[in-house]
Amino acid sequence: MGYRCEPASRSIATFSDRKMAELTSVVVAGLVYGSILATAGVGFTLQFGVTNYFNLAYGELMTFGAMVTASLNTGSVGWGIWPASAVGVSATVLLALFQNRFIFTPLLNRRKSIFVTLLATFAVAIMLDNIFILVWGTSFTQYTYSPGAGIHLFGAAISIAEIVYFLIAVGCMAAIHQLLTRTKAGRSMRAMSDNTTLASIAGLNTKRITAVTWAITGFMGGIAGVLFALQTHTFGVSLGVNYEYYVFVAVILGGIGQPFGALMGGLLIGLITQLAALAIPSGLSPVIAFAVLILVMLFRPQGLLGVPGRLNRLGL
Amino acid sequence: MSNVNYYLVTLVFFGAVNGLQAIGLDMQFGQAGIFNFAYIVLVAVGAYATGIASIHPAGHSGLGALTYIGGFGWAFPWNMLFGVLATVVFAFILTSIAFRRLRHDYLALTLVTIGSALLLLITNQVNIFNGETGIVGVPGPWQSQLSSSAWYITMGGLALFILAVNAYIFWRIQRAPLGRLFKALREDEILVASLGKNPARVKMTAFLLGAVSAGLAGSLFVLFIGGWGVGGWQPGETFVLFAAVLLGGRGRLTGALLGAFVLYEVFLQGSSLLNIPLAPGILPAVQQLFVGIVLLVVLWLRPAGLLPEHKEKFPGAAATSRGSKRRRIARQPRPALGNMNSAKELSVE
Repeated sequence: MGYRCEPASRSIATFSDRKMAELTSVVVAGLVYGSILATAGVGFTLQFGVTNYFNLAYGELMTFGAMVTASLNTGSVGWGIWPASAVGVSATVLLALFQNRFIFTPLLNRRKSIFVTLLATFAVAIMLDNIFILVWGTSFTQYTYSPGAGIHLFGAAISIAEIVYFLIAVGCMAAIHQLLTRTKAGRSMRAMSDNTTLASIAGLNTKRITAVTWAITGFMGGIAGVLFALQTHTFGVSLGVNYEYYVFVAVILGGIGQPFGALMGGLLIGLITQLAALAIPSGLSPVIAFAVLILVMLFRPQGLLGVPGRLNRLGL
Repeated sequence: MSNVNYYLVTLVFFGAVNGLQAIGLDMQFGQAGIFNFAYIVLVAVGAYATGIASIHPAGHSGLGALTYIGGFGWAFPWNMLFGVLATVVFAFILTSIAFRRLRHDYLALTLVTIGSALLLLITNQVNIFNGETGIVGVPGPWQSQLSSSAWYITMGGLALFILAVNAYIFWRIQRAPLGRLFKALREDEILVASLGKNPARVKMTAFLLGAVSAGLAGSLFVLFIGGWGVGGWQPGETFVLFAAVLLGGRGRLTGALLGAFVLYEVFLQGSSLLNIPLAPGILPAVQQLFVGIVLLVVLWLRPAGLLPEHKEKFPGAAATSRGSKRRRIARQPRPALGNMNSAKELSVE
């Protein structure tokens, strides 16, 4: 395993050792949390890039993934966490595809207005919130998942669980990167994201690419939901709505429509909130993200990686 | 006064206050096209501000473990004025940060995020407004001097009076050049800028006007109910307001009022009265679900709403090829100019 056992004679660590350990554990926590945020953010921002409207019901996708997994993992069904997650994430993909096929695309075709679709996503968000309450109730639940002991790094304890979440998140993002750069579907998505009209003129099947994008958004949202639920231990149907806020801030920070921006934004928000928790009480951590949001709005509304002038449709 | 009469007066009161919220949202969304998905936050600011202006400082009157800022102990109407002023100041700060160059959908996302941030902040940071429980013990105007039934009737009358004044002012604004400017901004922002008006400032004006209504509504809520907490300003409330404005007819004062009446009084109250055997706490979720279905149906069938907007008629305008719009093949929205035609699409039957 490779973890150092501290000899008993060094049980009183030096001050700098303790500070180092604290810093390491905070940075690790920030990276883990940030990588999950980045996963969620990439799913959200990819979908906006291709379809040109925000899915305000993204938090509900995350909740759905987490709760379906919970239904299979806990209670009488009692599957292992990973098979349950596989089913949960697949169910989220199906939900996303369903939303696209039966609600958003028909409405967009009929009303030809992005803003009507935005209202529809708001409606779907609230409706799903209430459906979740009806199906799963308002109580909290926990996954049954007991990973082994972790490793030590600079004196800080890192659990196997955190490493696993990080690897899953990084794996997803690497897969998305490969998809976007190496595959035809990915290139088509990037083309549609740049200029939808030109893409359809060039012969790309925009309907199918939109469906693929929604499937990806469901996939990333579902995985992020399960990972958030794992990380926060106790959760309920309000999981997605609570984390959705941080995902939005991360995406805005990184640049709307830019997958790398979502990655950077997610990691930054994760690190910032965890580091800030060293100095201020944890009840105020939404404020830190809020402060970041205000700064972005004041000084760089297009986000870190957004190119000013290229996002004319947003006014930037 | 019998229980039925109390109930009717309460209905009137809440009908008026919901109407206030609806015309405020219509001013922001229907007239000026601002997708303020965090409208209820403005109402909450009005409510909290009026509340802390009315009650005494925390720990004062033996109300126990409440923690909150402020506590001035003012009487009506100063507490209400403070509440409305606080709402306007808050809206002004919000617009100076977020409105500067953002187009509608990015602005919507930002407002949603800010709304969530404030909800999380107030819930978790208990010493601002006492967290989840909220503030209690807010005295109503002249409540100690009137009998209970007289006070209820007074509150109902007060709400109706404020609604009437607000609606009249908005009606006058809509008929004035400012109202036409709002609608022009909604339809084509670049055109408005090319005519020499500052679009951001025009949007801010519409937003602040809507915030006044929100502040009044929040004030009335807290003065009637006697308290205000986090449960009163969840995102779902804004959603129901949007459904009301769209159902009744966006861009039209009577439309917003009709939508508020139909949705809140007839639908929500009516379904509560039906006494359907459901587990407690299930009914609100089912109600909101149905409101969502109503909204989607309205968007699908008749986005203009029950009372569509008046079409302005200008003498000498050439006949536009409006009919040919229906025949056009579905095409992808053009991102180049921001697709400000959205509102036109919303007003086509």
